Amino acid sequence: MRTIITLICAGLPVGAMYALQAMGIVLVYKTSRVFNFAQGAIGMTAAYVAHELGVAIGLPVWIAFFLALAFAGALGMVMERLTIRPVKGPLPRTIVTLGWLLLLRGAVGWRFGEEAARAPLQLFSQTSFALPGTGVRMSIEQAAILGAALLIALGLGAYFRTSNFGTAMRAVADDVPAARLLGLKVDRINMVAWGLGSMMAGLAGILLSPSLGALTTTGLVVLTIQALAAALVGGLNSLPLTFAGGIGLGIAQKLVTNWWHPPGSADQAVAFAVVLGALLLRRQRAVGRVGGLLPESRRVVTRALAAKRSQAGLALAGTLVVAGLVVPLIGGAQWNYNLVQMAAWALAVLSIVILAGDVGQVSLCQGSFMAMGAFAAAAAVAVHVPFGLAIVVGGFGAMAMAVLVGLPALRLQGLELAIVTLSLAFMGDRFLFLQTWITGSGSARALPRPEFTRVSTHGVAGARWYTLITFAALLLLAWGVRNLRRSRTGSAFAALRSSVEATRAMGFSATAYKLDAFAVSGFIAGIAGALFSGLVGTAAATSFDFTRSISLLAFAVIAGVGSIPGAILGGVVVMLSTLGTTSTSMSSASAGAVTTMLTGGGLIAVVALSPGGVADLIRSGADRLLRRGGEETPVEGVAA
Amino acid sequence: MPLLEIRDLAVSFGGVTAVDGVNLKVHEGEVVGLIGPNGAGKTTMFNLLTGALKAQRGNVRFRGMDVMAVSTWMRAKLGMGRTFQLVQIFQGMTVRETLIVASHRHTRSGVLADSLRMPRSRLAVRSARERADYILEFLGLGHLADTPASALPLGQARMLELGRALCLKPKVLLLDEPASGMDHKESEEFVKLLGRVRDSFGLAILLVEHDMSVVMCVCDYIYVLDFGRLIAEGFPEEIQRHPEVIRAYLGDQETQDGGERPAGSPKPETVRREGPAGSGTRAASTRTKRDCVVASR
Repeated sequence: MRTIITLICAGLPVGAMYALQAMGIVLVYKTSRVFNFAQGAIGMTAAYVAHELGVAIGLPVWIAFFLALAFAGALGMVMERLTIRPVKGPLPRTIVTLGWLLLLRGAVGWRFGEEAARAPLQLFSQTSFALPGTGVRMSIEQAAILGAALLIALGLGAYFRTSNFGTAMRAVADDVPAARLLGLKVDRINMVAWGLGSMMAGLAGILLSPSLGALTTTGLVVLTIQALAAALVGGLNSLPLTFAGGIGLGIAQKLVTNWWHPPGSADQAVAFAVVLGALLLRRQRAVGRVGGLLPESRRVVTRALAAKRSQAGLALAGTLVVAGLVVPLIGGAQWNYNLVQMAAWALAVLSIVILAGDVGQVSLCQGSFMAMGAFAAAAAVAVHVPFGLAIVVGGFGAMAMAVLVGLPALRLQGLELAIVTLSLAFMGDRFLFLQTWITGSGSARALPRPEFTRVSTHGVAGARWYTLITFAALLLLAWGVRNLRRSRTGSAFAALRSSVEATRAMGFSATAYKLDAFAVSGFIAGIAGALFSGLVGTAAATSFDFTRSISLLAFAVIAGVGSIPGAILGGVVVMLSTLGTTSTSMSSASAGAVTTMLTGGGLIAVVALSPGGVADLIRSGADRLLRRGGEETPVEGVAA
Repeated sequence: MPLLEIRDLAVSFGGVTAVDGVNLKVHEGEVVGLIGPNGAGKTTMFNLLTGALKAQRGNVRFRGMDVMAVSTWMRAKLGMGRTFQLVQIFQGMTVRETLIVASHRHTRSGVLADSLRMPRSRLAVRSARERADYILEFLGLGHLADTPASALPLGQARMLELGRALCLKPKVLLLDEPASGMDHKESEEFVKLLGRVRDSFGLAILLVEHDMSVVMCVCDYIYVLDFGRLIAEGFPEEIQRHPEVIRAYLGDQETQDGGERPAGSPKPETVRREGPAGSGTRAASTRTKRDCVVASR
């Protein structure tokens, strides 16, 4: 009994912080229908700012605290004004918040060092006192956190209910056009909501950081999953229920971890289960239909243009073949390394193209599929399966996982799927890929690529073979995806992207085709993961963490989510970014942080400025060139 | 045996009974109209028929089998082609591509064959394309083949939906207010087109429509719904004179002012006219009304 009370007392303050973050998410969602995935990252940034001001510079603790809070609030308002307001549609806006997640994580990692632990700002004393009657001890810090959270929750609730501004916020939350007609300044209200939401994220980040030990750039970001869980318990609507959800989750995690000690963090598994359960049990689809990932290109492709385009595609494939054959033969080991890396990441982006571009399903856990592919291949190699076959085994392993993820996806769409897959990516890092039945032991497993010649694996000849194999895989799978698009299955995919109801009316099972898309995407991602791991010699989940998953979607969007050449472009970008790492004097950690930061910035810029991505820009330029020789003038599409 | 037979179908939402014990038959080659004032339950009937909604009572037999437990897409595969009241055009597709999607209902090819571009996959694409082009010509939309479907004006978008349903080679065509949003000339042409569709493809049509003149022109037999119940059925000329129908559409003296039916008045009895027994006799082949005119609105 006493243990239980102790556990509950330990869970309460932690849960209160989840609740604060979650209430920030709900506040923003209610007014602007955007799911702020950057919530955890904002909290993390605020904690670092507090550290910088209070610990490094040495300002008085409370001044540092309030300055950091103000910073978080300002950050939220800037986010809304500059990057949310100009973008239309809930899903593209949510993608923008993913960009912010990367941008903030990268920026902080660059400034403070990626994983270098820092001392958090300590506001309250950790001296503990006995709770009267029970003998259970609680620290002053825990009590203060709990009290602060309660006070804020109650205050916010009262403010929302009684003040003029609160009423205006509720009106905006209810019906934006009507609120506008009533003369409410919707934009300003949204901006304030973002500011408030970010301050709550910052508060949670600063108050929670001491109990997590040292500050790292991942720790507080991963906490997003707990905030998501609590927000979903509250139905993305009710603040009191959200608060209860956060507290409940905090306590549940303490209780579960008391009796269950899997490798890794059971906390993450609990939070993931809550996210999944809350989404599947939801009665109304409040998150509901949110439209496509990105606006459709309305450009018309005439037959003549299509023919020329496919010639251009052939030319691209030809270039790839030449690059895949010639460069490895004349280039040294480093060139081969770079090329394989490019091809593997191009495959990873391709796996998003089929899922997000063709069927319109957003997956934020492609990195997890890659990790699964890598571990499956490593397991196969461990039982002496030939390497080439092991890669295929990797593909099938990831395919199995993707289909499992796809099953709940049948009931979810748009934002909901993004939430589940992102939660899975977080959970994968801290829990799933630490389980020994997947990894063998520890968190990495050897995946040696075969020695094709007498030369050692790292010698040039062995590397050349590997380059050829990887390029063959890339060309084959890209060809397959291209075929798929022009086929019966592709027709069904494209129909599904637009209207599930109408697709069913055409005699296609939406269920079967969604699962097909997940299976194909998982297979490609698995192959990519296995090939990349073969390159570095180890299958390790750290190569495919949540940042990687989000970055992959970012690359797909930046390059053009619907485009196969875009996928290859995405691979080139990843390769160049690592090339930049090695060629400059930066340490690899800070170069990685800069890459993450630039990726995030690029994602935000592309969604805001050119939703079709870079490939679309290139293509519209190329189309203009191709058309110049043509006789046919296409009909311009009129916006319906 | 009727092609489509609905027996005692009922569904309610909360306390509101949207469809209440409806019986309806569609024979092969017939154009059957389902009319009724706003909120009569016509679209709900449609959703029950296509499987988008689950009925609480009654059953639907299609081609002799009970399809109540059959999913929407399987019903489409069995031969129910439908259009939507709010057009559901596939975004980002051209007119031809839209028709190709539907034409794939009769092709066979799986993910593996498709990604490897095996002969069966190529055959599927070719035959779907042929079917699509045939329907394009039939509808006279050939010149719009490469236009983005979402750029079509509403009238043509409805034609495209009709074409999409025709590509499925359906046994019965379910049209949900196909003429709404069309101007006078368009609906006149649409009526002619429906006649051609029925004659060329030999399929049955169940038409939900608001526009009485369209319904009177094109239908062989008409059912009238009001507040979820059938209040009348019969040939067009009978329906036109039917007192219950006139009352439902225009309201009678007592109810016109009050807006709602007085609580005391009895619910309208379903007036059941047994249609001529057997199939075919209801069909237009025995009667000529090709020369009727769509009334100007």
